[in-house]
Amino acid sequence: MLLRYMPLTFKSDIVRLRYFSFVFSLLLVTLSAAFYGLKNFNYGIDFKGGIMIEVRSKNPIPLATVRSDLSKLNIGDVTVQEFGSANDLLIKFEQPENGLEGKDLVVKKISDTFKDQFEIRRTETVGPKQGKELIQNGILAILYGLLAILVYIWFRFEWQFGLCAVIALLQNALVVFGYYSIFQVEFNTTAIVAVLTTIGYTINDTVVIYDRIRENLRKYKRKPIPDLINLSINETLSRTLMTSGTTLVALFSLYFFGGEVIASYSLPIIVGVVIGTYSSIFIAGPLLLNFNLRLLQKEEDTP
Amino acid sequence: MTLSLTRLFFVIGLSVYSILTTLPSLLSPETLNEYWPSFLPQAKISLGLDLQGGSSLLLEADVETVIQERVRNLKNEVRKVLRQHKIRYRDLEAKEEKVVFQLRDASQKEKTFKALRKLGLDFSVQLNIDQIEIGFTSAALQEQEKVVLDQSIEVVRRRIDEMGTKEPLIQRQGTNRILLQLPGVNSPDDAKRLLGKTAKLTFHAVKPTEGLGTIRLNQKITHNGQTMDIPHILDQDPLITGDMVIDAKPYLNQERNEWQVSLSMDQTGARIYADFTKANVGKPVAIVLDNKVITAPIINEPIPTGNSVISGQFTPKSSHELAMLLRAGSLPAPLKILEERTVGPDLGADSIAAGKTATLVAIIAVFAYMLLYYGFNYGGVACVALFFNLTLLIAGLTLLGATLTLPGIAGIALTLGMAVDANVLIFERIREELSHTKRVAASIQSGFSRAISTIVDSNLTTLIGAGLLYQFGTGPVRGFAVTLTMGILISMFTAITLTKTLLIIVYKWKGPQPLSFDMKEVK
Repeated sequence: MLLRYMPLTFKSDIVRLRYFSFVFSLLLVTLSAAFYGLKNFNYGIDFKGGIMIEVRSKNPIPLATVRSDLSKLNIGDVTVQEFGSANDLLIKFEQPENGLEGKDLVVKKISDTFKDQFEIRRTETVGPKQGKELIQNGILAILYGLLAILVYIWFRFEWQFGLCAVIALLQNALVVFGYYSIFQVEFNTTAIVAVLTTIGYTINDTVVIYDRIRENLRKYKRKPIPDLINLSINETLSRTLMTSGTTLVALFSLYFFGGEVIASYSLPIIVGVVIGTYSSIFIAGPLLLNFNLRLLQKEEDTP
Repeated sequence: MTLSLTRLFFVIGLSVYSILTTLPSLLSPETLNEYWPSFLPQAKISLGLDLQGGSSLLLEADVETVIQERVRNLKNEVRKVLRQHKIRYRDLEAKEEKVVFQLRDASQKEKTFKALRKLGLDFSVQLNIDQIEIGFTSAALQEQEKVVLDQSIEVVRRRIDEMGTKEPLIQRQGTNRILLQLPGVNSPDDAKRLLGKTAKLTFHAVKPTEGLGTIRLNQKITHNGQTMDIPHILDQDPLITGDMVIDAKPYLNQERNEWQVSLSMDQTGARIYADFTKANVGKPVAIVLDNKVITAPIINEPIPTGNSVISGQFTPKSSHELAMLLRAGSLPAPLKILEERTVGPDLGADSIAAGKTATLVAIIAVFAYMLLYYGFNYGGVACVALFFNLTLLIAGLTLLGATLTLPGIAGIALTLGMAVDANVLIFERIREELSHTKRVAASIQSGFSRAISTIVDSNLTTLIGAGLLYQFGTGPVRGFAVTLTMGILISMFTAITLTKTLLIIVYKWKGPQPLSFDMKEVK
């Protein structure tokens, strides 16, 4: 039983480390913003609009051959990449001027060029208008999410808790976006899914810690607030680590065994869960020190 | 701590039921046919297009065009009303979504207002200093948008049904979009061609000269391999419209060895057509489809029956298609394809296989982790709870008729990781309580009641995220949101019912020591 080695209450001084963690978070956020400024996102067809074809060949065909054959077709900027194995290729190109009808011509050209060598497994065509709306809706969904969480925590706890939780979540979301920009991972609807899932996961962690802080505020009226927050974080630390552990175990199984599409969902969520665990421990709790929580205790005392 | 029998039977009953509901989705069809008794649940979880293969099209109805057409009609109405009331006006025009004009005599303002009000409640009349604006109210606009989309969906459904696709899904999306899913159709070319035509059919009188109330439309004629456009001058108002057509059939004219489409009209259409053909023998009538004249035959004799034939250089295929489109009716607005996705059946099967493997590996890994960490007793309880968490989730999705998508599989495995959380919260609380009281039974009781509020608070906030995912997402993303939401709800449920019952069973069976987290001197 590994539990034996997990203390009931940890003795780490997380609250004293807060200046390091705040600076670290600021660095992460700045880095993300800087990369976004420099390299933007590597928008996928969900957002940019365009056409994607997944093909499978019986025998591995060198990418260079495919690329040169495709460039002869005169269909503009084409990217070809392997998708999971040497036999699976993703071919992507921009939407031809004449809209979706043009796409059928191009697909026909491609299947004529590679007759008998390739089987088309999947095609996706997205118009540019659709993409803009997706970005807008995605950002709106995230903002509404943060707002809803702010209100919910304000009602269940206090507004200070809501504010700190949302700051931590915002940091979290920005870093996951930063991951997309820094590594130039293709930015599709999966990115919005990853960020919203991360937010949902992190708020879960944060609420557990806040719940404990609230409980301890009632229990220890004289304990200095920094010690109280530190104690609360430490008391819930074994649970935080355990839950992150199992979630990561499940996510890694998905990443390694779930095939390419599922892998593209799970990797950003893995990043998000790691960052989320960090921010709920090191940011969300210690941020509360900027507010006078004593006042909350006094309010409760007055009948 | 007592173990109530009702509670025990409820938990056992539900667990067994969830397994029985889950199995049909997991077993192969052959096994099901041979060994699965017919009195057990038969429903399988429905798979999204990304798992079973097929095409999905997102269509947008061009409502704007329809509104503009209506505004043009409104302009004619307004002109009629103004003439009728002898109101002098100038600069009458349709501007964006409104009709505007100016009065020559400002004293007629009051009279104009009253006259225009009679047009109905759908319009708002606004008197400005120098001009008068009349347009649809926003409620009327919304209503029109809704009607256009409803009609479009109906026509799309009829056209797709004529194609003979199995179980198509036709769904409204937002105010002006239609999602069309065709399972098992790998290349949606036919569907796209059929939906790309509005198929608006009208018959018009042909006018000798251009003037007020005429339109000029072209007829494409191929002669000796050369294509040219021949212009026709037509009466703007149609005689017969497509909605008067009750049947249309492709038909081979043996004499001329040419494919044609024969039409029959309803009573109103037949009467109008009879009157018109009687009065216009020897003159042409133009048959217009989607703003192109397909044929303009000379009327040889009066046609009283309401039957007509369209000839226009048809191939067998195109005559069949036109007949079909005319039967299904015309689209109120042109449809534009915004998005098109196709997934081949092999890819779907591969994805299902990969998803199954990944979920299985995730289950084994999480179980091993729990057993290693919490030991056989608490770990075992958590594993059993997790197992039923999964079967309940799949059973729930099956019963609700929710669609499982590829990201949905990711959602299931993610839920597995998060479902552990409720158990962890409870166990950690029990452990804490135990360190104070040293009494196992009391610690389990109070550990539960203290953990529940935390579980509810933390999960409800996560549900907010899942809800927004659903709201924002389309197709596969929604599948993810649905599984995540169900997963969270079910994990709360199993933590409260199943985990507690199991802990009580272990306690009754083995006594307090195995549940003591290796603490000494517990009771």
